[in-house]
Amino acid sequence: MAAEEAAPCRHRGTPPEEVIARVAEIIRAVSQDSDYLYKRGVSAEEFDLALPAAIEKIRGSRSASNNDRKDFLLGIFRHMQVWGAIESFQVPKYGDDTVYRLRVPSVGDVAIIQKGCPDGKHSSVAWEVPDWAVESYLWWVCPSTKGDPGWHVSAGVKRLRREFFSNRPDTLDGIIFHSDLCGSDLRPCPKKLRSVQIEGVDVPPPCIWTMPERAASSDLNWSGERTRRFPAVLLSAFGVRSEEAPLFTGNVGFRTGSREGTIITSRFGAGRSTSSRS
Amino acid sequence: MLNPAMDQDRVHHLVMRQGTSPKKAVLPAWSRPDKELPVVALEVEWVRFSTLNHRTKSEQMRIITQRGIPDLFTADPLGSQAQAEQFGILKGQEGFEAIKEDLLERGQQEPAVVTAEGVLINGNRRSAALRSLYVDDGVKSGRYVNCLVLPVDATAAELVDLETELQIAREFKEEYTWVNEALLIEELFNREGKDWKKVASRMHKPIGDVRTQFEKLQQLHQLVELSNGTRHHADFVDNESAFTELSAYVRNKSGEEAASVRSAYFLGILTGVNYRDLRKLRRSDASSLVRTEIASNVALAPLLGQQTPEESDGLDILDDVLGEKEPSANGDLNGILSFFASQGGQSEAELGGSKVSLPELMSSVGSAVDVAADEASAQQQDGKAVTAPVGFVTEAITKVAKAAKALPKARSLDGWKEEEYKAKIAELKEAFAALEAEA
Repeated sequence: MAAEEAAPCRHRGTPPEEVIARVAEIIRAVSQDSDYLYKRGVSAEEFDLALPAAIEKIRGSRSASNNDRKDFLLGIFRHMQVWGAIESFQVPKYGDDTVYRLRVPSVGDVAIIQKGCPDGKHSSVAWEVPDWAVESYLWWVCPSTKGDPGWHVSAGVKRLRREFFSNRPDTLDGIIFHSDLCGSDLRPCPKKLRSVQIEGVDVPPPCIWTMPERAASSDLNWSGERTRRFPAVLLSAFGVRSEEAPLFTGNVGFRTGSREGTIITSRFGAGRSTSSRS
Repeated sequence: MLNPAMDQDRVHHLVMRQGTSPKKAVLPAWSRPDKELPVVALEVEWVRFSTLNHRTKSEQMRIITQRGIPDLFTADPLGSQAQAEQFGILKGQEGFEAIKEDLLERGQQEPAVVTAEGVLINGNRRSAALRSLYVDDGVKSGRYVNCLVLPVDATAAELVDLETELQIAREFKEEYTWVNEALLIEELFNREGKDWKKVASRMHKPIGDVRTQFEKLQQLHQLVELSNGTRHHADFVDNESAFTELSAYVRNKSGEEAASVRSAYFLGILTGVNYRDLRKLRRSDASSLVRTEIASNVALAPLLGQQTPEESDGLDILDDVLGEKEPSANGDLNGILSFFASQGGQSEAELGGSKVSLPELMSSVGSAVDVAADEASAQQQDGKAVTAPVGFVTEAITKVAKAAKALPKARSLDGWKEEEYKAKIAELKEAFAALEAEA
């Protein structure tokens, strides 16, 4: 069962792995072609030294910045507020960790911890649950097409598993994988019929999974036994009725002992689900 | 070796792309002994259509007349005008839209075949459909076409042979799949008075082989019958491995175990589960494991509330097929199987009051069968863990006994090292003491 099965969608039309490898090979070849570099006013040594910073510069100009991610989430929170799913939300100050405080009627304050793509220490390990939160969610705003979405989610959950079984005091109630790429041609969404217009763009309901709770058991949320209140709140802003919410809420399950393992089950409507077990 | 008749820039481009692709696949129709060829994802606008394709001959003749250019497809077959006209011809052919729809829904299933300069020997229509999806409809998934790449020194004669072989293979596939062969065996078996020797002789095959084909077909008959007219024998041509393993497993099993494994296999086959994963479900509680997995998934659980065959007048065939069972038998998958059987080729199904896309539902159930198979595998590992200590101790006792038997002779030989032996005995005693302490 491949990691890609952790999420219900696949990327389309992105260059295959071998083309990416070829581009890397071309860069390496250029770095060794001192004549070519000299003609362009750069020595081979300079090229090697400047390459990491140059890649960083290209990445910076092409990938979503923290502000882009923030704008995306703010659009969704504004929509949730207009819809009546949340009363208000607080935007983190510049320099603080990007944690939003959502006031949810009859639930309390929910923390949304904004992160980039899950496959990174900063995005899946460096987070802290605020003490005011009744429920806390890690929201991966990941527009990368490097691997399929399920691959990203699976990589993030792998890191979260280590955190879950570590000595850290806090745990998450759930995880969310959703960015402005979701529902586009590059990342077609099987929930597109449930899309709502947010600031002129069709946005499908986010993929959300509940996380296990620490307990003295070898089966932790394996079949999605843990229920949380925020998933239904979030989904309601996309027209998903409360009785339907479990059909759109996935679960991450951990098993310990001799049958140690992790399961990520996504649900995207009645009769529609996919699981990845590792 | 370079072929000077080829466009060397294109050849070089393709060679460079192959360099980073680890994928290979076998092309049985290729005439050389080494039939394994590299598979490369090529941009669909880069590959060139073959203008020598006999299936487009009459359309080419019409275009030549209309344009008044006799050598339109021969002067520069890879040039932009010839290629654009060929693309237009392929787009106008009957069934083109259906190919596009299929590619959109299922993606490219089999690689095309290109020469070393990227001219399509096989897969012209599929490549045209992908290009149309990408260029005309803006569908991003149409951007690449997976291709097997022929060697650069392939000769014109080899290419003609390949085209012929591919054509024969297509016809052979339609006429002589394992299903057709098994149907022929069944016919002979009935005609020859159920005499396997005669059947084997007529088929020029060993008795064991023809019997195996016959047994596989009996399983397939059951699944087709179960589908209530919505599935046909030809639909399961690609599932030969699953039927081979299923029929071999149930051969000497009790009726109950055979029914359990069979229904798990049938559900897996219908929902596209790989036969290697289904292997893990060759155990008496197979259908129970699958049922448990479906029951624990809130999105799929309503399937278990579907009408069971016992409650349905029209589907009592399930009893004949899977064996009679108590209506409440634990692990019974009959309700789900009958649910799929009753859909009658619909694109949507009714589930728990909602309309659900049938292919998506089947894929979701397939994912649940996959999880059940993994669960079976995990349990099997557990089983091995339970018996491991006794197994290792038994092995140790046998080896200690063998050592005692070999000791007198070893001591009488030159080179015997008594000190080394005593050190090992001390080590053994320590290991034994540690084992006893664990107890």
